Amino acid sequence: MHLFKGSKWLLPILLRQHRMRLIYWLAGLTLITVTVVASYQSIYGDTASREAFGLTMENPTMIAMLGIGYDNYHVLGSLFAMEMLLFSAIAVAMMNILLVAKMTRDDEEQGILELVQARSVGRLSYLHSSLVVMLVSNLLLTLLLTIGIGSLQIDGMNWHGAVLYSSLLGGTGIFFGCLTALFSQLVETSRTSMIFSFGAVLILYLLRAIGDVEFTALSYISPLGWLARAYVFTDNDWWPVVGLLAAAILLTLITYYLQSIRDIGAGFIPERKGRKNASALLQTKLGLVFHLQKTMILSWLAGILIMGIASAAILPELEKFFQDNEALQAFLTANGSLMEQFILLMMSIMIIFISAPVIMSVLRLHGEEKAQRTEVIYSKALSRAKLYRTYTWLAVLIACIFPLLLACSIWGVGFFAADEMMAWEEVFGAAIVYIPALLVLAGIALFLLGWLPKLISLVWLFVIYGFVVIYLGDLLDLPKGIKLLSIYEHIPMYPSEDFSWGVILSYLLISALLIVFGFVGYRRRDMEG
Amino acid sequence: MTVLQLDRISKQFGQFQALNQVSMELKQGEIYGFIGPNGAGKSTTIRIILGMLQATSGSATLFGKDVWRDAAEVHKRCAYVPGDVNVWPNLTGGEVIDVLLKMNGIYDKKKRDHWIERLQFDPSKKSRSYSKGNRQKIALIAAFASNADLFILDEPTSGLDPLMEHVFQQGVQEVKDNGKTVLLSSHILSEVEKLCDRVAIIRQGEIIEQGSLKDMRHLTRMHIMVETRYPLHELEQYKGIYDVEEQGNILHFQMDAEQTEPVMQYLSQQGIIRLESSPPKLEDLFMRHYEQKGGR
Ligand SMILES: Nc1ncnc2c1ncn2[C@@H]1O[C@H](COP(=O)(O)OP(=O)(O)OP(=O)(O)O)[C@@H](O)[C@H]1O
Ligand SMILES: [Mg+2]
Repeated sequence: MHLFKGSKWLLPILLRQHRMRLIYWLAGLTLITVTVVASYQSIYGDTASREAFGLTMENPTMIAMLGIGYDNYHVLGSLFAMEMLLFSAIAVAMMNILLVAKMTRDDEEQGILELVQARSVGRLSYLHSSLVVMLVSNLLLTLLLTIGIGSLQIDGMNWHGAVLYSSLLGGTGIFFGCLTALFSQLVETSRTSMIFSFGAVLILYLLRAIGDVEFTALSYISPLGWLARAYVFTDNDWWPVVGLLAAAILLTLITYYLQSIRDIGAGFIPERKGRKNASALLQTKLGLVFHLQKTMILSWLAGILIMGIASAAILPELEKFFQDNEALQAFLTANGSLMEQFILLMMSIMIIFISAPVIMSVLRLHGEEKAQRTEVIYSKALSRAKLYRTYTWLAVLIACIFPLLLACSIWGVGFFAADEMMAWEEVFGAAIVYIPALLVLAGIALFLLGWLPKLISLVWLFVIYGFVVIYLGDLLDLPKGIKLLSIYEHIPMYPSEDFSWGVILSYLLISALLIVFGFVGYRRRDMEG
Repeated sequence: MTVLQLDRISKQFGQFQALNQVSMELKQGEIYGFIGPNGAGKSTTIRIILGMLQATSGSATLFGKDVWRDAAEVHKRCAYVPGDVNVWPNLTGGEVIDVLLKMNGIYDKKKRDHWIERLQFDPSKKSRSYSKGNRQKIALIAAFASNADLFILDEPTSGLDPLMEHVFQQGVQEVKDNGKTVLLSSHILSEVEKLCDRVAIIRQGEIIEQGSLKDMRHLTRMHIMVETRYPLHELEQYKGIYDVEEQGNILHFQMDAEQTEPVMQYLSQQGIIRLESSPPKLEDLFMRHYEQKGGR
């Protein structure tokens, strides 16, 4: 068909363009999955440990976070899927959103599409090739995961389950890839398209959380809610995979139609018109730097507050569960209440999310440099020192204000929802202790910016590693020494652990040193771009 | 033979009227210049011709086929060079040129290498590291090495150095000598003047002047430098005389081309010692149109 003409030339080009990105993602996802699978056998080898795990999984917090519990705790695969499926699915969704937004709207914004479209190619070829690249990546992922899980030959994780588990992840990837392609038609920039897509992930996740705890119907609206209902490794229902693919096909058809009727560069949702004159805020340095990233910062803030509110909102469920379960009561009072544990766990996870806007605000300075926009600013007699300082201030402000707002949202909602809420000093204290860790992260990013700008993305490794340790650390039984490589791990879990000035002060000192050294490097080196 | 025909094309972006009843026709073998101030609608017109934007009204055909519906087919015979070229950063320049050429069918590898050499382009570097001019060369090579019948060039030399610009002008001339057609939008008026057979001037989405440069010159002013035996006191009373400057006996002024006869008669009565006239530059034409407020 002439609409798809030329796709065969574009497909290999797009694969080549994105091959490194794909290899990292596929290798990372497969590696983590296989490591967890391999460790399961040793941790949950005996029935008793599986039953204990099953018990914790019935608690509403866990259901809200990870999805509905399966009844078949004795099947090892079922336990594994409960703990890993949903979060792996979100990781796969992220990979696809980033990939598709880049291939569709970003390439169009850059003008690559214009150059290609002027050749003898169909109107849908570029989009089609992009979606095929996305499809191929997810099929590869499915294949790699299937082989990885299946070949370990673990009792309770058979090939059928392995294929289904991998297909669920692949299907989720395809679904979110297609959704991003649709958003890329509707809006005019890849940034907005990514914001819409990540927003969709968050909303679908929360729908599922509420659905799994309260109104089951909501879980059937959200494709993320379908995943657990495949009962991988036990019943092995395939309908969620079919559902994901059917939804993806529908999205694709709409996307193709929209692309075929629209002008190049145009969207269907108009972007807001800018102002003619700079506002007073914009004319200050910090104001300008904030303005450039307003959307990024505010959408992260909104996401984090929603998560905070949502987790506080399930506190009453938690209390009810706690009262009904005497065995658990005895078990938990030893080290703080269930509520406290839950809030501290949420806090440590949310802090990792807050790390993202802190880092991104620093990365932005690098991005501006690569896009050669800093040249314009430097030539306006603004010294490097001032620019560096301004970006540093913004990152510091985010690192200080976000945890406080998070504590506000958790304590505020919890105060009204729960019968016996934690004291506000404790909730705020639990958030504040993490601020030095966030500052160290900002320091690492700034240090890399100054000395190794090409490798600045490495700062994300600290965040990913921190997440892996919190999420999988106990599960994988990681030795203390390895856990302590995570910069979040040194922070005391106040109030259940004692507050330590030593750690806090040394963190502050380290971050100050990193920021200063980063500046020395930044002032000396050549501008990129 | 008509290669490109625009018939009363209008384009609206929301409330904004970017093009208003634009018509033009390109005959085979001519180089057609397209000039106008920033934001006048040149790129918009070109994107409509390339089937990337859909005209709000009017009809546009390339080689007798509809530009939107048959875009993929007619593009086989087209080559396009935009002013700002961006390509896949992880691919080398050579790879990108090959792909662009391949998409239009078979191509002449020798011609490709020939143009790479002429434009002094290093095809082995990753695209992310090319400068603006070098990225533009990618599109230029892909255009000149193709066997297109129509070349659509939108500010194709905005990043080239004077030497490369010269090579480009030779290339366009060779294309014309082979009987191909060129649509050249440019802000470099000397380039347009040197290359183009006919020119269209667009302002605020409307074509305000169209025709061969020779015809247009009739409508505009000549530069005159004259030295006479007797003073030219009455000169300024004649119609169509502007910007008179005196340097002793020598007078510089501009004159509407239509007024040549009476003015020359007067000058010869005053005893001409020396007379130089230079034809109007495209720049003068351009300025005259642009400076007018509110159009004609
Ligand atoms: N997608 C769009 N949406 C809204 N307005 C647009 C869009 N594309 C172009 N315009 C407007 O249409 C007008 C014509 O733009 P165009 O790019 O065609 O100008 P141009 O003649 O090529 O200018 P230049 O010499 O600067 O390249 C401009 O005012 C521009 O702002
Ligand atoms: Mg233009």
